[in-house]
Amino acid sequence: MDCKRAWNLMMKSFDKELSKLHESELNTHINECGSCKARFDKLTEAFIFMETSVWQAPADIEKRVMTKLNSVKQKRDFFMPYVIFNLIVFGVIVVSWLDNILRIGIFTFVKDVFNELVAAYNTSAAIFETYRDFFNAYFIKPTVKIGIIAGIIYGLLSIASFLQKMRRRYVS
Amino acid sequence: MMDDIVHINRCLNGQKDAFEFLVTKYKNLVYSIAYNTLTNKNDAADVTQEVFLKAWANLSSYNPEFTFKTWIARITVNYCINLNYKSRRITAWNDEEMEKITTDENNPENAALNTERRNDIRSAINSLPEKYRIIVQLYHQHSLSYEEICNVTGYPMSIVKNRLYRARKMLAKSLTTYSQKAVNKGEKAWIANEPGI
Repeated sequence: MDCKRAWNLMMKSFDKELSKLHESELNTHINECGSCKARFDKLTEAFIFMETSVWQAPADIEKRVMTKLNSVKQKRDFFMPYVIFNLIVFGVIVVSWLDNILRIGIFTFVKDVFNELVAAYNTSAAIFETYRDFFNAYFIKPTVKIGIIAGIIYGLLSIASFLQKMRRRYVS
Repeated sequence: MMDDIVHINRCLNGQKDAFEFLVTKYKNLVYSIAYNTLTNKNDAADVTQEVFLKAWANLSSYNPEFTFKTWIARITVNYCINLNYKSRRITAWNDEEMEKITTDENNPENAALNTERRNDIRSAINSLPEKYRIIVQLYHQHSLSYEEICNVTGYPMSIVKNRLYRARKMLAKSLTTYSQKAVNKGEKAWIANEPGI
């Protein structure tokens, strides 16, 4: 066996992946080759030294960390997107509700665009116009009302969950 | 591993006392990495504290797919590298630190021999470029697996294996050189003391 192969076997030995067969092969070479033996012994000694020289941290490190912990706030990655999404949904629902009650007409433009699109898409605009009042009375208005109520419940639950998280964060 | 997850979840629910368990468990690992990189006891203690505070602040971004050990080691390695880079300091073990490393021996001759060997080993490790030194220390000193080192350093497996291979080669070269120097020094001393030569 040449020294290059012996070196590769040494690497396997340090990785603790050396088979019995290769181990005896390496030992035979090391006993014959002075420079490989020196390398192997020096590295073994160095790695044993490294394994045994894991430093002990100061005894008061827990105390130091725990004392400072109160001044450090935990970052919440999931927190902001969750709150922003809920606030947007809640905001849209509340605005549409106020618009319905106060008749400000915030969504008139949106409604007009929607109606235009529907009218353009629908080839039978006349039929749609005929049944529009019927849909408004028996389908659209009740659906919107149910949606608004569900939205308000959802928004209130979001606020409750937000407050609970804030309480956990600061009052513990 | 499961213990860690339980304590991390408790920490995320705002129970600060659960974090003390993690500090106690991993303080020596963090301190050792910091001490090896910065070679100063006080700096290493400060870094240990900062690393744990950083871990606490970012605990919600911890991915349970990896072990907490890997995660905290990664924070420590990055923190120490940044610190060295910012201060542009060259880490070197001074004599006082070297003295502290040596253990007491009953036989003063053996102690002197061991001190010299230990100093040689420490110098050889210290002479490695940082990117090699960190990997060899993570593997041989902190017993991290190849996969864990990949997660700590962010390097692919091929680079980690290659760097460890090269680091060992450089170490072997340095150590045999030191050894040769010591032999030459010993021979010279023997020649100088030998009467009639």
